[in-house]
Amino acid sequence: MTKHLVTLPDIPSFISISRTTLRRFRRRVRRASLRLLLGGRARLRRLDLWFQKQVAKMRFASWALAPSLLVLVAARLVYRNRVQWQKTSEVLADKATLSQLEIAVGAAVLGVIGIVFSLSLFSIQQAAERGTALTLREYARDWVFRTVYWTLALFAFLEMLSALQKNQWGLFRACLTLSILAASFLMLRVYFYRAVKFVDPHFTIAKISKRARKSLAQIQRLERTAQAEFRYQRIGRRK
Amino acid sequence: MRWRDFRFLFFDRNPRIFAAFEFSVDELQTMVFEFSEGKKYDLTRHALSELRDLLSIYLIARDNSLRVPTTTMAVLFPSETGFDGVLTRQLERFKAHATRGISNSDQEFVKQVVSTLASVSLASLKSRSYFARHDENSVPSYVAAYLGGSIRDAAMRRLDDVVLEGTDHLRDLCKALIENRLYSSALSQANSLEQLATISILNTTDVVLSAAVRAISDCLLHNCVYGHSGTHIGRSLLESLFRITRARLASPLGFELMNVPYSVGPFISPTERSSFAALNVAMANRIIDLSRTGKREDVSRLISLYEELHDRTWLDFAELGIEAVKKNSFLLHYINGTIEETLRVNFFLVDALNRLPRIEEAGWEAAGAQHYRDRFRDELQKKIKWETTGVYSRIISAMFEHKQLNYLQGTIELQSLFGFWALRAHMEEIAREAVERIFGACNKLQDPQYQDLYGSARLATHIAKIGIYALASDSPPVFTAAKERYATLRQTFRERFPDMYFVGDFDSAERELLEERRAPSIAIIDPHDIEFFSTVTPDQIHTFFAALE
Repeated sequence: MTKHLVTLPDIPSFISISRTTLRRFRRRVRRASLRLLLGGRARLRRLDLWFQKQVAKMRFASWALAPSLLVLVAARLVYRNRVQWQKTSEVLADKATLSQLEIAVGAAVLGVIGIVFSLSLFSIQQAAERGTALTLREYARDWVFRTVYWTLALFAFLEMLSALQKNQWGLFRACLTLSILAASFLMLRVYFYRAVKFVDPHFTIAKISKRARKSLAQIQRLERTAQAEFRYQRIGRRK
Repeated sequence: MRWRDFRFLFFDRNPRIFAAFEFSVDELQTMVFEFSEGKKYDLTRHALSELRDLLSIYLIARDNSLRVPTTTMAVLFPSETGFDGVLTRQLERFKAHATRGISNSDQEFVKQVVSTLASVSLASLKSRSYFARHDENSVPSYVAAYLGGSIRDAAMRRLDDVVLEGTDHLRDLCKALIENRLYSSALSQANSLEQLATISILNTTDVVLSAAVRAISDCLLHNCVYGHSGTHIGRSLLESLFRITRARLASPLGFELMNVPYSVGPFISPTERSSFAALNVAMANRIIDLSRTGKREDVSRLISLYEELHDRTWLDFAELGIEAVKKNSFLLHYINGTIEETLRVNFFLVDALNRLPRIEEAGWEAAGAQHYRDRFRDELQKKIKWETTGVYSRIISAMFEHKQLNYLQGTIELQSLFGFWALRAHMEEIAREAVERIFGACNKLQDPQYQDLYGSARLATHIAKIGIYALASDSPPVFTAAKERYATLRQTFRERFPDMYFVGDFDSAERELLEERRAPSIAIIDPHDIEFFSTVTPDQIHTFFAALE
């Protein structure tokens, strides 16, 4: 009968085994801590990115939402207090205060047009110095500038026209006046940023290039139409 | 009428369709002009990049409907030589910009224009002419003509920065053309590069020459990777490189130790990445790798290219070597290096092909592949003969004819190395011819007019070395030939100069070889010494010299 003896390791080998075990344990701990650290950092980074993305989204939404909300609140206020405000505005109209306000706002809008023109002169001068003759032409042709000029002119005209309306439309006239006032500020801002852009010749270059791309796209559309027509005619001939 | 024809006529007969587009592009061109006058380079760069994009889009949009005649049409139908109006006008404006910049020596602006033209040329590869022809796309050739012209003009005015960048553009274009298999267009780009190299030789600017040579060498390498044989591209590029080297050799600037690597080095220096030697190494490795993996189609293509490359290269090298000898130029050292590497590759290929297992599959394709491989191996053996005997029989003769013996020793050492390799590859005839060449040279050296009596005895050692190596490789015919030739030389020398004793003479040859074999010094760095002493034994050295008595 054979006996299976479990022999204990001697002391030096026991020390070496325990050293190896300790080394392995340390290595594992180091690896685990490193993994934890890297994982933690990665998660933090992702969280930070997500947060920034949400903030950017909210910022964009606030830019779009804030004016809409403002308009809605104003409309609601007007609707709720329409009777009371109607009376008040009629009183103001009777006293000719509203007409005076409208004329004042119309005159202010004309003043804004003046500011816009003076801004134009400044930016034209800048463009002439830094750009070429073509930059000036692009400046003169720009649809944003044209829209701003015509809108401001329309505002001034509407204000003057509104001053001549009946007193019963007082509330409508007051709302229009205030809206025009707010819109004029907005227009001025749009105009300022556009003028600043035009001072940079890179913007003009990109603009001309964009126009060329558009005309090429138009030609390609024309080509596709011609191709469709050609096919149709061929099929017709076959029949 | 097909839609393709209708489309071409539609655009061709209604040029006003593109008026709005052209107007905008013209505006950008005017802006480029005005900004360049004020040296506003950031603005010119922006405008030119927009122009590049617009013209690229235009070219792609006009694919298969551009009026750009082919070379055949230009010869056969001269009435059809009209070119696309929009493209031509814009290219002319680019040319005008470049010409103005060159005349003002405005390198930065010219570089921008050249870079734009290069990008348009690359974009034009995606567009084909209405008159398309196989292996030729006239659109990139047409655009590249403006590019090449501008770079050439800059080279004439010594605007080196522009030319250095321009050669890179031409190289990229040539590579792209090779990849698209537009070989005749690629040839015209290679010609442009050669023209640049010639201009740089005339201007004595080695920096530009080096860039042009590198560009052509890169194209050659690219052709070996992507190209096909029978297209004459490889041969043509190689001929260009030889012509350039010959022209540089004839230049009054001199072609010495420091000039060679910085002028034609990219082609002739074996350590350069796209040199002829490096090209051979890369191709040989690829051939063997592909043969092992059984990719027969690729192997056949590479073998054809390799054969085309080596078709008459030996003669070109021989002629170049003779010219180098006449001028006593350091170029000969590089030629020797290149031939050494080339032959090393050839011997390796012969050996590797012999070691490859035979294709045992049934079927005519397998039989054809095996036959092709065998034929290539035989062809290689012929080439080795031409590249050793063919080249050096001419060069060594020229050395004595023109009495330019500065590089004789190196050349003779190379012959003994070729002899060793030939013996290892069982090509006895080549080893025998090497013995004959060394014998001829040593015999002539005994003539007092060359004023190198010692050289005859010292160089004769190489005959002895080949004989000893033959003994070690068990090649009796070579051993006998070497023994006879060495004995004849020794006899003649002793008869002519009986009282002459010096270090390295015939009497001390055996002792010196034995000493060197016993205690190899660190000075043994020559490949032929390494090859010799790693193979032979002291007994074999002793046997050879004993056989002489």
